[in-house]
Amino acid sequence: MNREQLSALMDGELEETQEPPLLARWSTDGDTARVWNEYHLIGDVLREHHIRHTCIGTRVSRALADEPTVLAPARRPPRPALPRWLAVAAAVSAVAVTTWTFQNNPPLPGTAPAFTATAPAPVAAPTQVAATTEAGPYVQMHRQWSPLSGFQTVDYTTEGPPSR
Amino acid sequence: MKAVWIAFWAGLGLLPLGAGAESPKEAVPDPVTLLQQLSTAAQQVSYSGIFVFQHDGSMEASRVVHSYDHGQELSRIDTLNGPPREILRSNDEMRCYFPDVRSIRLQRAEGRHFFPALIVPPLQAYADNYELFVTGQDRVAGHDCQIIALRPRDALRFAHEVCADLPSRLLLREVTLGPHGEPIQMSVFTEVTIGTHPDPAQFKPAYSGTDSWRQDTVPALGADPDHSGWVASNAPPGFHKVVEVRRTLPGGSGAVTHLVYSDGLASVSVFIEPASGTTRADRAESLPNALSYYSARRDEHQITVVGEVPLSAVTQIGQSVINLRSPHP
Repeated sequence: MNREQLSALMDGELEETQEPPLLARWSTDGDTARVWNEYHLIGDVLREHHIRHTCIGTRVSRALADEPTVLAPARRPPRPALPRWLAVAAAVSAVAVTTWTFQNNPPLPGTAPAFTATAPAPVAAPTQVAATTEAGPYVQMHRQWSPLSGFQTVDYTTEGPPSR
Repeated sequence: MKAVWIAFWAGLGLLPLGAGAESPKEAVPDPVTLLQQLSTAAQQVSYSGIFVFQHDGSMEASRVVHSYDHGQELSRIDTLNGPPREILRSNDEMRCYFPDVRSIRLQRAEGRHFFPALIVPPLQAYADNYELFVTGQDRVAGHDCQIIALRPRDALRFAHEVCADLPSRLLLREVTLGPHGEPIQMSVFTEVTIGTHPDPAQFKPAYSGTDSWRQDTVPALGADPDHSGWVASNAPPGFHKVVEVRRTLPGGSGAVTHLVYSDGLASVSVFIEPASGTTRADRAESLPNALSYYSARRDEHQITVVGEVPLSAVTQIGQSVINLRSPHP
């Protein structure tokens, strides 16, 4: 089993020609599937999502194998789940709500990739944490000028015209 | 309700005839026309309401009041949570009040636009960089609205979705979608009254005795947007410099030059500062909440790029930062 290839596949960076053999191995080789699941679990832990990993994969696979094939038209992808936010947000009028989670949404894959083809997962963790810490002040300043950003962060640290 | 709208249109009489003559049952106009109407409505429709901005698992609520009367545009935004902030705008002049630090900042509104005025000219730029779809209708703060989806034409920006009030075309919601279509940030009205002229008294500052407050003036970008000489020479298509300012890092650890590049929706910040004794490793990394981060040393300077865009975009911008005034570009 090639862990580098697996990691690259997760990041969507594997060359197309390498995908079919790896996927074939993934479906037959238990070790590959296990490592795949582990990588995802590690990724989720690093991204601090609520961990919902269970060993459901094998059971679903088995159940699927026993099922007859059903041909059905493809489902249209659902639009992002907004209504529930709105229902809650509507209650906000007079308020001091300071935190809020995107509880209704899937994990944010934008936070990935925690893995790269060359760096194994455990090494990626400190790097991302370090980058997040280092980026902090810049992210804060970026928000202050983003047209989409809020106003409590509108800054008062401007010094004046840029110097040459 | 219909009668109210007829009165509204008749009374306003300032929007383009094309928009005014249209009945809600007519076919929906093409996306660029719709964006044009959104852009005009944000300026020329009077409204007041409360909106929230949600990002990074946190939420900020603000009250906004906007009036347009005989070409005179007035708006006011007050934050409802976090430190109190008050932004008063009269046409192109903007005053921000920071009562906790007894400070006022004056600046030109140019280059600085806030919800719901998120769609700004040139509108063709949206069509150039995003595929536009008029997808369906939704309801926001009790108002039926038309959804317009903006899907990026390249891998250098994220998708957006806006929903605009049906009769007035006022933008009621903006959602930025991550690489897998998941919402990463959203601005949305939770309640809004459209078409009623607010009481002029609402546009007076809430604070008195501000004469003794510290006052800063932020100069306009104006005719010399490359004053500092710093530019991203290879920014992704449609990204233009909208802000160039010199400022202090939070914590007051030193001055940086801050540039903001925007394609009209996405924005990317570029920071240039002297590379001090402490060396930082060069990085290009995806951070949580669809933020991308790039940092690299270029000769005597540290270049840092941050934005809600894919990693490839901050990298492309960061690698192309040069100083036009430098003798050795």
